[in-house]
Amino acid sequence: MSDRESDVRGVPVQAQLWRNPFRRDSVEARVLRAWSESPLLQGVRAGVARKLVALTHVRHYRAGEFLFREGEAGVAGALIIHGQVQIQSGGRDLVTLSDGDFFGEVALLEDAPRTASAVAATDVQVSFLVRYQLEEFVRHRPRAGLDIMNNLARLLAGRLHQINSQITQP
Amino acid sequence: MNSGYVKLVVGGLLALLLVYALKPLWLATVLTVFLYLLLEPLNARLLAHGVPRYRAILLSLTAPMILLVWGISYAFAAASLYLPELPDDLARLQSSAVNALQTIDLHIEQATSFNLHLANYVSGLNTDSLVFNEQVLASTGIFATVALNITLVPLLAFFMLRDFRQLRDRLLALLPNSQFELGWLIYQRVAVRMQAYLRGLFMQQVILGTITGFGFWLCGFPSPVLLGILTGIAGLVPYLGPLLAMVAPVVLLLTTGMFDMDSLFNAVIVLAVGFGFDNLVVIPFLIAGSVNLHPALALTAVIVAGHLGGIPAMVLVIPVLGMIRIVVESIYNGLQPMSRPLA
Repeated sequence: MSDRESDVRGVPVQAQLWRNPFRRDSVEARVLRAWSESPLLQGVRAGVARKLVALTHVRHYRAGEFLFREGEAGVAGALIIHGQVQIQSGGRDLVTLSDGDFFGEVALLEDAPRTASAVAATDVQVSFLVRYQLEEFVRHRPRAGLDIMNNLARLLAGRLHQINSQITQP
Repeated sequence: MNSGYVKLVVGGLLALLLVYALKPLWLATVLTVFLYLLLEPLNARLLAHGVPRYRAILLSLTAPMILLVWGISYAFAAASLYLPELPDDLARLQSSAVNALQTIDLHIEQATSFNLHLANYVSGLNTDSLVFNEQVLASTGIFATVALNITLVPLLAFFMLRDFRQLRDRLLALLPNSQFELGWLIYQRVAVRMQAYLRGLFMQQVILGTITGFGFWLCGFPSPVLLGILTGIAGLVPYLGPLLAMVAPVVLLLTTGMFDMDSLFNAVIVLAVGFGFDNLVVIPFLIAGSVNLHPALALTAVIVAGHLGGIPAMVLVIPVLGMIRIVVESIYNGLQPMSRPLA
């Protein structure tokens, strides 16, 4: 989708025309929408998703500020609400992520050092989900927790397949 | 200096100020944290089974509430029955102690030809002044503070079970971006270690109290249950617990006029068995590794804390040192690269 066809939040222009112009699009609503559309919460009931999203932490970073550095201990997965984030490893830029992209998901599973650095390419708004809070949530709601952990496993498996195909391609 | 560290230092100083301000409620605070850590897993399990939040909290608090109400009513009944007998008991305690010390004086004189006149120190005390002067009022004030603290515990525990997570999230959200994840990491490590330590400590005291209470009952001591409970409480003080645990049986023996060398020997044997089992079996399985401090450091800290803050400080110093250790280690390791260096 080109820049002309969507605004900064990724909402299609046609959809914007039919939206109530007087309705306030609060940060909470944007965060909830972004998480609900993320691969982690696919198929999770809206009520449960709302409770989990209420636990997330929205933080603002200025352009050039590190979200986390390679090798540091990571405890949270991150979802970009607004802005762009550059993923770097070994001093090289790997990929640029933008609105709605979910990253750092390995930290939701184990106490492992970050495998890459994330630096704000523009002023950025990011919502973090901390592993310990996810674990508490899953413990309190095992059924929904199973769906979320399945989604997380699928996400990691997808990343693994992607890396495998990159390695095996001539 | 980095503004993040300035905020951390200011936050630390504010936390110390808060601790100082809450000094009269230290017992309620400690007991509430203890109760929260004990009840939180039960509360989580009830929530996982679909029990609504408030009902889960109230169900979790039911057993401690019943125990508290029973304990308070029992203590009041016992106190109202016992207080009129206090002056007589003190006089009896004094005469028993004088007799015992006279025997000890005699033994020492026979062995060394020196008479230390230990009995004179005790016989010179005016026990009436212990009961009828302003010390009674002072002790009433202490009991009132303790009663207030204990009454507050269920209420505070209720709010802890209901609101602790929101409060924690808000406090950790105050951290600057660069310390956000590190703050969570430290919190989690401290919480996990302290939960393991306090649950282990609770089980340790229950086992110690049960063994010694049973031993005192076998030896025919009066009030073996009370002695078991007091031994369990004394066992909370690291290293010096066995010495403190001797006080209650000796005072009870002196008060009831049963004090003799055989009874004293029995008390020592019961406590030796209880604390021996505690040190050889219970501590290695339940407590070891939860704070992981060097014994020499721990012993020194306990003695210094006792000098500065009395028995409460002696009880709290080990977990506090354990927490400081985790915080320092996490700050050091958390800011250091842990994996491969940059290419």
